[in-house]
Formats: sequence, structure tokens, C-alpha cells
Amino acid sequence: MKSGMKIFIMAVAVSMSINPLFAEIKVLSVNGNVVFKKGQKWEPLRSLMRLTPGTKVSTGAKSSATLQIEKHTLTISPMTMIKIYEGGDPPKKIAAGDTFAESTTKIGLRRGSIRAKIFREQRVKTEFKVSTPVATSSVRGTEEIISYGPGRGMVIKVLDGTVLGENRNGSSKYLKAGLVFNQRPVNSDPEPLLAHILDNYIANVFPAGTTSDEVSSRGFSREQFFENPEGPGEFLETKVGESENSNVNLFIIWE
Amino acid sequence: MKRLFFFILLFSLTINLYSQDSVTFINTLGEKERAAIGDAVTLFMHVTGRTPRGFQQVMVALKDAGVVTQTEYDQNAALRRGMLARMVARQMNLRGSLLYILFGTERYAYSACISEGVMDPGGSEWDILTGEELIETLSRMSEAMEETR
Repeated sequence: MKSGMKIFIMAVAVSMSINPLFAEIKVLSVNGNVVFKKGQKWEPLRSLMRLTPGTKVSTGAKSSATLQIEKHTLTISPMTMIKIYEGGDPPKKIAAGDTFAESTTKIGLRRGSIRAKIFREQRVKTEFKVSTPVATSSVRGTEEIISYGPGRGMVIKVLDGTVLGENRNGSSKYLKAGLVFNQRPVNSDPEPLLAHILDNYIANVFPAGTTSDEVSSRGFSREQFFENPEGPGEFLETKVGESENSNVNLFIIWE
Repeated sequence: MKRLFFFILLFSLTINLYSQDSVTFINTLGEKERAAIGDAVTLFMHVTGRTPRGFQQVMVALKDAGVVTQTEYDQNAALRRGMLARMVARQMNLRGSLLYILFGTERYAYSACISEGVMDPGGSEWDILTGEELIETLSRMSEAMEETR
């Protein structure tokens, strides 16, 4: 009897130590009504539960949940549904004997919004992908808020680091903090990255030599227009922490 | 003491059952090709932190809160963008559109919701909404209201 008990305790200890090696998707906190589905039935999600890839998580109104997928933190906003396709496995070595490893997490966002804080480790190629029906966000060490809905489409707001937003047609954009990627379901290309703030100004500044036709067509191509100005001297080049003085001629057109 | 314990247990079970219904309701609604007025008012109650109890009672509660102007609606009728826009505009007390302030119609409520970023341009107030579109709109309303707090 005693030896049976010892074997049982050892088996439990071994299984507890081995378990994290296979999957590490932990529920850190649950607020309100949150359910998960593995198979056919939705069940309430509770703190400290462990999930496996293939699980769907859905939050109700005024409800949220925070998951830890390996070392990444994922906060799920109210009225959101996600599916964890891949993740939680410890980093795998790229080749035998290689000191570099890779870690992959793939999430499907069907509706709502998530906030992801991605942990980047030295010598680990970290890939964190969030897919929606219209586009995909790929991250290598950053913090971002991603949302999806049938009207607005996919929106990626970068809080820190760099993100690649790519739509179904292969059109992609690199984003840094402060930029917003928005792929609407009805458009073939994403919105300009600064579209969310361009219309907030009472004045628009254009590079020198801009014709009236170019000004009137800015609604169609404003991002390319600002990123690829023609002619010298339109942009100031300064390094971080430095400042530079320059004369700027402004021609104000009252519309 | 036993009675107290029984009531506490019953209360917590009721809360749990209701909670479960809230998220199940949203998941079921997400599958609908056509959202109904009954769906909109029920979700509206959930999003604004109120408990939905029967269509008529919900309509009375929303009328008292100034979200709807009348209570005589068919709960199974298709939800149109204009009706939802007016509910959202009234709940958020939108003042960004002069025409909406003056006339308060569904058409101008839709314009007010677009300028507030709660709805998207390119549609009409007569459009019938899907379940996912209803969820998205009320989710954006909820976010916008949280931001202004």
C-alpha cells in the first residue's frame, strides 16, 4: 500500500513537472463572463486554468480575461472571440546543436479586441501572429492592440516595437508605435497609416512643388504622397534627442 | 443560518446562470445573418450593465432612460442601422452633429455616429444589420464611453 502511494505521488510529481514542457497557456485572471470551448461545449473559464492549442475563448459584455501564452501576455476585451491555434510550447531549436531557437504563437481573432504584450528573448526568434478574416499581424517583440469587426475590419494599434500588418492580397505595411493599420473588408488595400490623425488638423502641410491636382487627390494616395515626396529639402533629418532649425515656407489655402 | 446560506447559494447560482446567458447570447447572436430589434435591446442592456428581463420590460426601461422614444416595436422585426444609430446617439448623448441635434432623426443619428467613430460610412440608415455588425457597433459604443469617462 505504501509503495503504491509512493508511486502515485511520484507519478503526480513527474506529470506536473513535465506538463509545462508541452504547453504553457495559463489563465491569469478572469473578470465577468468568460467561456472556453475545446470540442463542442462552452464551459466557464476560471483563473489558473491551463488551456491547450485549439481552444476558443469568448468574453461577454463587460467581461475580460488575461492569458499567459508562454511568456506573452494576452488581454481579451469584452465581446471578443479568439481561437488559439498554436502556442505555449517552449522555444524549439531551429537546427540540431543550434543555439538559436524559435517560438511561434498563432491566434485567430473572430470578433472584438485583444491586447498583446509580446516577450522577446535573445536568441529566440519569436513569432506572434494574429489573424482575422481580412488581414494578419506579425510581431517580433512589441505591444499592440488588435481589433476586428465586420464594419471596421482589422485595426492594429502599435503601442511599442514593430509590427507587420499584411492583408489577404499580400499588401503589407510595417508599423511602429503610434501608427495604425486598418484593413477594411470592402477595400483591397489598407488605409493610410496616419489616416486616424490626418483629418484632425485644421492645416495640411504639403511638400514644395505640390500641384493642385496632387492636393485634390490626397484622399486617394495621401500616405504614399507623404512617404515619397519629390524634390529636395522637404524633410528634416534629425537623430533621436537632437533638434534642428529650418526655415519653412507655408502657403495657406483657405478652403 | 441555514436559510441565509441557502439564499446566498441561490443568489450566486442565479448570477452564474445569468452570466452564462450573457456570453451565450452574444455567441448565438454572432451567428445570425439578420439581427432583430429584440437582439439589439437585449445586447444594449448587457453592454450598459443592466439586466434584460423580457422585451416589454426592457423597452420600458430603455424609454425611461431616454434611449428609445416609444415602446411599441416588434421584437422580431429586422434591426435597421438607423434605429441602432439613434439608440447609440441617445445613449452617448452625441452633440457633434447640428442636424442631429435639430431633427433627431435616424438618418442624422447615423451621421453623428459616423463622426464619433462608432459606425462606418458607406451605408444607409435603412441597412439591415447582421448579428456581428450589431455586436461590433455596441462594442465600439462601449469603448467610446469608457474612453470619455
